[in-house]
Amino acid sequence: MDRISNVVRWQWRAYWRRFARGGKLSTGNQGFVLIIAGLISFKYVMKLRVAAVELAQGRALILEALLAGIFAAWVVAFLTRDLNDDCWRRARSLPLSLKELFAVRLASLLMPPYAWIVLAGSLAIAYPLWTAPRPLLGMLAALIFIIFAVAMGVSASQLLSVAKWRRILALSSVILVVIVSVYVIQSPWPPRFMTVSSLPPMALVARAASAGNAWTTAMSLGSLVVLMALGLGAAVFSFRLTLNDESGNSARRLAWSFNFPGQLSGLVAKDLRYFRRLLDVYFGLLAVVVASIYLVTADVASTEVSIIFLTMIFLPNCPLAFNYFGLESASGLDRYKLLPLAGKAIVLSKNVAFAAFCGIQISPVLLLVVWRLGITAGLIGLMTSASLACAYLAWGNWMSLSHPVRMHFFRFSSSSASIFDAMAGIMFASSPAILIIYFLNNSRSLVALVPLAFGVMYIASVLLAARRFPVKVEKIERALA
Amino acid sequence: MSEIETYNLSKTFGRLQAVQNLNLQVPKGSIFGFLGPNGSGKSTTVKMLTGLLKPSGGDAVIGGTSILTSPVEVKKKIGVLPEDLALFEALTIWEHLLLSGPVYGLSKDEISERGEQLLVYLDLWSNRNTYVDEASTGMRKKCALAMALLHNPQVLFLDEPFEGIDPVASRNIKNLLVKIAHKGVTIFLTSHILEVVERLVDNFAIIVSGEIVCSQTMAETIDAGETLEELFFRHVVRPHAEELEWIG
Repeated sequence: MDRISNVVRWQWRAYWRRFARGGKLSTGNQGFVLIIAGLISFKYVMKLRVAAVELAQGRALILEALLAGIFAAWVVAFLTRDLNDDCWRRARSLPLSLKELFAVRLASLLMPPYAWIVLAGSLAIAYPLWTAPRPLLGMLAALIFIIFAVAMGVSASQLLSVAKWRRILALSSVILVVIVSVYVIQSPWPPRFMTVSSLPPMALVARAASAGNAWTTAMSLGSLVVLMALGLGAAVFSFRLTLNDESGNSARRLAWSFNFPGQLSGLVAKDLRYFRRLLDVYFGLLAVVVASIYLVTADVASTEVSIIFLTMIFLPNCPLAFNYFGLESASGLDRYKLLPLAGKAIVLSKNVAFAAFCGIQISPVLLLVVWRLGITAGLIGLMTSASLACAYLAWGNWMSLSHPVRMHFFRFSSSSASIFDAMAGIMFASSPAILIIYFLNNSRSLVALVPLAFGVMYIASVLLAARRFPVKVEKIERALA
Repeated sequence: MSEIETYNLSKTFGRLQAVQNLNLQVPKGSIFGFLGPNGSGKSTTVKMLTGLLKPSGGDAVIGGTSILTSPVEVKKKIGVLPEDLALFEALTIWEHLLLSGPVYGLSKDEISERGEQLLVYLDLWSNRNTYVDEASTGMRKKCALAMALLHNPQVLFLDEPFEGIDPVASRNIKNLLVKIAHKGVTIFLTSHILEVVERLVDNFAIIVSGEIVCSQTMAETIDAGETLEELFFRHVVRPHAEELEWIG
């Protein structure tokens, strides 16, 4: 135990020193982060009170929704953390047993402040459960559920760091999306599962807290214990996998994407590979699937709704525009500095990669828009996409140089990024879609002005970024180191 | 005629004067050894000359072009094996060559032909599809060296080229360096392996605490009846090492 606490104590010190040494506590507008966290907490407390009232009346819809949120929060919290940082690599070389190493891994995952916020939010679920018919059993069930959620978050985080399991999870996700899509397309609108109020683990907690008979309570608790055991088993299994991961070395890689023409082709191809390793962008793919389902199944599809879908596809890709150096290592950035390229060429290579990446995602939606709504709607969709890309990059060309934050492969973009700047950026970058919808309904002839205006802004941003890059490059390198 | 010339080149990090008023001349087609203990300013100098660090003062001219006024032009002329190798994660060795070739204006055919010859020479061809983050230190270093040579540079900067390299590849690299120096390529290298440097270089300089303490040709050293190691230890003060009685 002493050995674990010693290692954890030094990891804790190293974790905070990372911020303190570089004077990074002030970056990312942490004050605004606190305000936003406060607002979310306020809203959460309000929901807890509503859940308590509802539970007292024998209903558990809000409670289940809150539990689902807690589950998602744990998974996301762990999926933003890099598992193989220097501290962990050092800990692995110490003479620690498997159990001790697992304890160190768990402790290191719980170090960031957002993990404490999620923990506090999870424990606060006891408040509504206090008003349930069986409060103590409900709280016990909630505790088991939280352990299950933590275990699943740890498992997901660890499995995604193993190449073979990433492929398995990706394949499973594709199969799931296809099955759900086929089901939704064939079902009458709205699909039946959307009206199903109780989904398994969350419903089990609600049943344990409010079931009328002891048998249902016991069954719910028993089921939760089984789930928790499975979750913990998965966490240990995935932990062992990460320790023994030797996959990948023999694999043959496809270099086809490096055969694009042009001086910057290699850099763009590299960035396309990097971009698809960030988990956020897969929400963009999900938006593509939902948009496609809408365009195929809706009785009366509308251009405005299609524009909203295009905006939603761009949204999860915002880290790629707002923090386009985030996936580079300091060593990779050195290579950029060694290549005979001016700042403008480097900025353009990042911009082209972003445009190509988003283009790949939106092209099926634009084709469906043309098929469903005609050429004019397709052109409007194209103008919207171009304007959105210009707006995202105009903001990104400023923010990527001013607030670079390290991001990691197969993780969500870091929560330590500048939330205020990112939110302001999203509002700015989504404004072309709002303007186009407004002009479509009021003055159609002005629609063409939107891509023009944002195109000019984009060009100005490239020129400015090209001048700022040599000045900012050392700051970027420090942020990525 | 000097291919590399520095004029009062300096670098400070806060209060630390890492390199002070460095004045060097490296003749064209020569192999120049830049020596010094850890933290003496060797890598900082290489970083300034190759565009990785901006000098705090002074200037350097490489192949007739100033690193301050035309950094991109300088980068076109040079090939660099940097200290941290500057490789990209998640790319294979071959993909690194495909990435850098077009930036130097090489055609696809040129990249394929030169890349294959380089990787075969460096005994890396069979590992060309290995991700660099899964490759050994030696393989990574050879990959960075292949990138440095691919565009046939006029000047080659090599920061510790022989560290972590197996003896066969090390000998191949040494032979290659001698051969390309005869063809007119200027080579600027840093190394801690004094025996290798002694046999390879034409000129050398020793830097200690950011200042040049010795600069001469290898022929002058031999004529003086000294070895490079003797000269090095004469200029570099070794810290007094206590006996570590508790080990063993």
